[in-house]
Amino acid sequence: MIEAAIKNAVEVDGLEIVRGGRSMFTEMSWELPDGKFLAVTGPSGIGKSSLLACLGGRLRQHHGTFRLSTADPRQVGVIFQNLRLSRNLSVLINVLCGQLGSQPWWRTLFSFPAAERQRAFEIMCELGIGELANKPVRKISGGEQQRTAIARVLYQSPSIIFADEPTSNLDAGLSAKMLGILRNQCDTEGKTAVCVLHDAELVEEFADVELRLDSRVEHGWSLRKIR
Amino acid sequence: MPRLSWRERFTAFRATLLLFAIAVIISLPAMTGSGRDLNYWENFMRFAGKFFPPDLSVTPTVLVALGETIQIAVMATFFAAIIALPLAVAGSQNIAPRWMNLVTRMILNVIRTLPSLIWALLAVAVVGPNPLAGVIGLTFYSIGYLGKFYSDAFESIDAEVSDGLRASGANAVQSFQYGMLPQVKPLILSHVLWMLEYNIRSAAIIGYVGAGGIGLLLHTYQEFGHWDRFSTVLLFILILVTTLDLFGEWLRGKILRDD
Repeated sequence: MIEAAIKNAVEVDGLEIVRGGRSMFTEMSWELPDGKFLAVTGPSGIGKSSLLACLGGRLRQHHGTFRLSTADPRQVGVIFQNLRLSRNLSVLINVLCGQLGSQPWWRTLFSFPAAERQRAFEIMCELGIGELANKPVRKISGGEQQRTAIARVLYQSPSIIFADEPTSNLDAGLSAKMLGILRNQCDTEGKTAVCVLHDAELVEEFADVELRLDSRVEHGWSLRKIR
Repeated sequence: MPRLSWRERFTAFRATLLLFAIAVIISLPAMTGSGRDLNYWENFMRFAGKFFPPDLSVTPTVLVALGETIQIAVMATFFAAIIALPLAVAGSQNIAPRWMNLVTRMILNVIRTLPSLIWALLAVAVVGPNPLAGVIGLTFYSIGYLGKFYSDAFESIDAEVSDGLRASGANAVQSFQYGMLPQVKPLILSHVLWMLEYNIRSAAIIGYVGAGGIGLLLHTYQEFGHWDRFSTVLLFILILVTTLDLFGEWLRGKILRDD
């Protein structure tokens, strides 16, 4: 399902996802080159999260195939809709967890190397959560938790980022800032982002391509090039 | 007008009450005494009178034995808290394979079946009558309980957190350490604290079978009929257990509230 050695970051061919006996969309085909930002939009329950779960290897498709440019799970970062943070661990440790896959287990058994902690802290400062470093995640706000999840993926530094509504708990200013950081990662480091978004203005401002899921159109999806 | 059938009226609560009432009736023969014409109240007052006033001259001896009791309980809880962890992981359905769950849970059940006094008795038979026997006996007993408690805690966690870490390349040890363990840590601490309280109470009695601690003193005073000294020991146990109860309740509340 996840295969390496393709020229695009993500290639989807004839994909169909069925949830609860209902087909979300059919015959979905598109390609996303490296360094591009794809926004997935559409009403609630239409299959946006299911598509991301499928591309992330956590949900089996009904028909079709998809390929990613990397088969290494460390190169695929996911910002989950429900964040999946360790609530009893500090914000800093949660961010550091982004790189667990790149460290042998014995190096992370008691603590993380000082240089790694510093790098994680710098990312947190960039996202405006530096002062929360030692606070347990359970004691910070929903928006701060969301930024912690974003910081974890940025620290992981994958080549492909799947983000499921990464700004749902953030105000307009912070949403723009976070998406700006993701956009910058695409432009300067050639990373690829597939991001579920609801705000049309943010889509126009940051995305290269919009994949709209809509049950009223043929096959339940449409693709629009923004820039 | 439709009427409820007897099945609908016969709730689980009513069924339990009925079963309990039947059990009480069947158990009535347990109330049979020796058959002799005894004055229970007079017997009680005569025996209780021997406890007063408590002989406080034995306080230093009692305090030393009490210290040993606490030491036995602390060491047993320490060993059990560590040994129970891998057993709990093996016994958790959401972590280990099914066959391993069954084997581990069976072992933990067997351990819990024997009371702490029996474990202490077995340990005395192996290492002789000393505090080490108390530590070994209570360690085994505590493993049975902590293993079960930890296991239940692990089964109640949100597996999505560790799954998320696995998805980003973390290995099994890392996803356990950073995804599962932090979720159960407050519960584990609370259970260990409860076990420590329980072990201090148990350690006060296992001396009866020679496993050290204040129970040995109780046994000696009972054998020689020194009931005034016996009551001094009971008094100190009461003070210790009450203090421990209050402190434990406060600390457990704090640990769980902070969660």
